[in-house]
Amino acid sequence: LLARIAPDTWLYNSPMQRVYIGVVVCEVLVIAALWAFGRAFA
Amino acid sequence: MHIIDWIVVAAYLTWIIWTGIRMSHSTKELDGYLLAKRSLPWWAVGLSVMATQLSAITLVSATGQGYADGMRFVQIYFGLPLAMIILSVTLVPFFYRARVYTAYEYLEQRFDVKTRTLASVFFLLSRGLSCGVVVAAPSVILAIVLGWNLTLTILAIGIPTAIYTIVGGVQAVTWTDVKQMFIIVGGLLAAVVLLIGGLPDGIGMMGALQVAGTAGRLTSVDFTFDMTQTYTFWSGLLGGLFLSLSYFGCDQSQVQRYLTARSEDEGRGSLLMSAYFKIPLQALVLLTGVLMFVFYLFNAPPMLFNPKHDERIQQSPRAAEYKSLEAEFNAAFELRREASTTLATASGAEREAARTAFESADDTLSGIRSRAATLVGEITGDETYRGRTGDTPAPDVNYVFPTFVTTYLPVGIVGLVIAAIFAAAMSSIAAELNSLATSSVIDVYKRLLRPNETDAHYLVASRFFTGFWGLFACVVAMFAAGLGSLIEVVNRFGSFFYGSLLGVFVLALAFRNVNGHGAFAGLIGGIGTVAIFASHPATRDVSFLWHNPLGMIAVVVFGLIVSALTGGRAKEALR
Repeated sequence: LLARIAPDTWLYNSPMQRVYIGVVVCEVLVIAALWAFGRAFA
Repeated sequence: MHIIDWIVVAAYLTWIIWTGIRMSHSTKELDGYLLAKRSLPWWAVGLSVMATQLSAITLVSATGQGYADGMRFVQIYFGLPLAMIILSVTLVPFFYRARVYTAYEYLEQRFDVKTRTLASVFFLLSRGLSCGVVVAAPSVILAIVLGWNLTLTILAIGIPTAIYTIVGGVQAVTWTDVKQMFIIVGGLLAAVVLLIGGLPDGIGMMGALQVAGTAGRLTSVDFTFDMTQTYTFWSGLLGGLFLSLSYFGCDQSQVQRYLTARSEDEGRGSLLMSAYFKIPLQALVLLTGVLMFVFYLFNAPPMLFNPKHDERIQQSPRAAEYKSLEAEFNAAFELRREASTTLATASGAEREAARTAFESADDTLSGIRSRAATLVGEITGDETYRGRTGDTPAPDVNYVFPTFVTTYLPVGIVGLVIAAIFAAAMSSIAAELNSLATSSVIDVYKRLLRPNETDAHYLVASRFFTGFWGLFACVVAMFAAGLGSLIEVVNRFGSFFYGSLLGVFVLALAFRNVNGHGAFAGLIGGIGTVAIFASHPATRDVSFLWHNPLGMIAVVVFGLIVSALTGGRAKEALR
């Protein structure tokens, strides 16, 4: 199913793989920062 | 508005129209006019994607939302980065390899012409109407706050946008979007700097944030699982994921942006730019609103920001009652200012007492504002005054930022921020006009009405349809401006449609045995299911974000059942 719906997946496209991982890492960091910012001034 | 501000706005309009018209040299063929010959760099397309999504109403409403309800709104974007990754590995390669002009063309390659036509007609209807609302919403606000004529404001936004889009096509849309993004961010940063500079002597940034935090304005992440709440982590992550998948994957106004990129990877890069920057950008917009809240703790705000009914209240028999409330409000504001100053400078054990005093003073002020809103509702019969956003009357939210800009910002900066509001409106409208024209020509005119004409003929038709949709948007805007409920109907119609359209693309990509009959019936079934769900008394309180996964699942279920009953699929999925 994955091969059908994702013809060029991160599994075998290494330059994009790093970008996708970067997106996830950045999102987690941004959400954590927003949460900490709110907690610090609550 | 000062003459210098007028000059700034006029200079902006001239610059943008000139930029758009200059692009006409590379639009001599249909491929150049609609897809820029697939030649644009990822960063320009990425900025265009972000500018298209950031409409004027997002800019004005979201700052007001930050003022009234704090940073919670940012959670609606938590699903967006994940959606961009999913789209990059799924739909983007299919669209590129199919060499399509519109997302709906792919549906004919995979299913049949009726599914393609139905999807494109739904897109044309919902996007055509919403384009009118995108023109109307900022026009109404600017007309009321600046005292401009409403029709002229609508035309001042609509006509220049239509002109440069007709002349320059998608190249004009993209390159003006790039410049408009810089104006929007520049305008916001100027407002932030001046808001911070506007804090009274002796009140530091940390103390001000302490007060904002006490008022609940800095809480950005809420892990409560409640499907009736739109602004929670789970609604944003899951509901927002499906909303973003639908919007960026199936809405031609977005798909056309990344189809103009040089290559598949550059198309992906343009989407992933939003994945990185959308949440921080939206946080900046909301933080501007929070800083306005802080600013108005120390500087007197109007009791109600929306001046729409001022004249009527002054002339009503209850004018004295309103005036007495204003006196009460001013006294309560002085008490809250003192409490805010005490809290911002308190330390250690004093802080708890200062916090209690501030909360009490803030509640009193909000209570008076609520009574004033109820009074205005009773005098004018305006039902919207019953609603609340945070502790602020709902009709006030969109007026906080323009009121602050025109009241407190210096000459020149007012013009810059008004230009930023124009830029946000025009960037969204231009992309919508361009995509509406593309779908009209490619999916309807060329496919169904005049299939064998020359490239030059379709180019003329594309320019004609761009102008037609521009005119349509301005006419809808003039009606929508006077009918608040129409705006809600249009938005609701859009939310019925998005998840269902995503469902058709999921059927196309993930299920081999689905045929055209199944996809067609699934699309209708999905929209019907969401319409029933959204209006049924037992489920109508569920946040609209959840309509997207529901619509998608309903389409898949209907599509599979109808396909099984009608003999499965006939065509192979496109590779």
